[in-house]
Amino acid sequence: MSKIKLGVSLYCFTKEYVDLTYSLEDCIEKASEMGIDGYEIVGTQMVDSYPYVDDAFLGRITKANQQFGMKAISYGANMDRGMRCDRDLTEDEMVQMTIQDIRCAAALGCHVMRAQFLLSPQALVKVAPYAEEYQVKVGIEIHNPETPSTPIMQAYYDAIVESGSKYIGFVVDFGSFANKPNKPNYDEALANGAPKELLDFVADCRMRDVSREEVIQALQERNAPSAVYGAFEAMYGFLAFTNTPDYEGLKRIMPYVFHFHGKFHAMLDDGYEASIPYPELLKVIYESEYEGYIVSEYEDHVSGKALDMTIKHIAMEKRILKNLEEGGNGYV
Amino acid sequence: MFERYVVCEDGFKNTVKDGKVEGFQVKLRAPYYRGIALSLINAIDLEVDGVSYTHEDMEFEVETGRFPYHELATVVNNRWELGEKAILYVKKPDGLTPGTHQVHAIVNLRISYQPHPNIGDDTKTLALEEGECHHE
Repeated sequence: MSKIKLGVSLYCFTKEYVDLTYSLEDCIEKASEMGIDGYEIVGTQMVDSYPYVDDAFLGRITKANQQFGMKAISYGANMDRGMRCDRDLTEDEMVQMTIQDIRCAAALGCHVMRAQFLLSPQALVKVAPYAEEYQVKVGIEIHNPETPSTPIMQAYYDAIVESGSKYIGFVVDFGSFANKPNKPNYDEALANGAPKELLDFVADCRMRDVSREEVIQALQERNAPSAVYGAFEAMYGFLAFTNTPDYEGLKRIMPYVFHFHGKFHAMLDDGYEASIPYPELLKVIYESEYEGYIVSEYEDHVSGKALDMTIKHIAMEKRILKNLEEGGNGYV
Repeated sequence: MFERYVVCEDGFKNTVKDGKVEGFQVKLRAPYYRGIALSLINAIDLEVDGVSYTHEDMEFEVETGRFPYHELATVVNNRWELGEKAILYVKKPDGLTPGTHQVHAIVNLRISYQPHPNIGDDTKTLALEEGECHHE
């Protein structure tokens, strides 16, 4: 049976961190007040000595961890393949960057690291011995619009299985299973002058998997304003959604998943996330052998509501998990 | 997302070299949720009171170093950290006149996993700080 643990990504507090409302220590303190024991940190965001973890930073974060009873459990790495202006980084250069991130993750005490898909399946396999050496599991992030069954993720799956390594696998973002239009994005488009009927038209096309080209043509014929195109790009990109989330794909890859990003954009008054089917997803995880964390990752942090929304998100997860333990279907 | 943070309210002033005002400086923050290597800057464009300044006359400084604008594309080992106020130096003999100016900066970043560049476009009306910034 699964042993699901809950955590928070400090990324939730991006806005407060950027506008200096919260220091790094404040972010850790706020996370600690949510009844959890661990957090995720994005290296390029909050490690001020990146791409290294220097002694000053390590001292600072260790002190905060002790003070607030917290630990860094996972490390978010970014892959800047376009680091050079004249060419993409080579596979070996990306492997080197990833190894450096593994060192940072290990220094911070993290045993899980999120890698981005620009690191190819072959490169991920090359990283495996270093992941093992440093005891940091490296997972390719499955992020919307990818799902566990899209071709690129299938290629990672094959490479991971074939490698036989327990130290490479997947970090799955809940956003990949969205089954409704993203609420903040939809509301913003409305506020920017997108007509509701055109937004609903695009959303309906997305649901029915109408091709990009067909939608663009239809929007041109209707003289859609630019705000509609912005929403269209989101609905067909990082904020895609579908009537048929890839639960079966998730079940198939579960043995290779060691971390989840509990993505959320808006918690509604009914206690559920606006566009991501948490009860169904938590049920899949609950019924697996999963033993890792789900870290809350609030994507609409620019709203300034991170604290309130993240508290509600954790409460929702606890409520659903309790219901599942009692034999329910996650809807309470 | 963070473009309203790009142009900083502080640090807008004329710069002096060898006793002569040679230009001005404005502080900028990166319009992204994380830090980046300077090589990921596609472009920084600046207008003051509707007058644009050429890249030839710009230098860019972060905590770890100061670089002519046209070298930025090669700077893979110095970073513009999240929230860090970098300084854009612009050559302009005699600098800007005292008083308020409209400062318009567009920062264009190359983010590999996004299908489009990340662009921060910010305009602020700033008062030129008194006292000049001296450097060798």
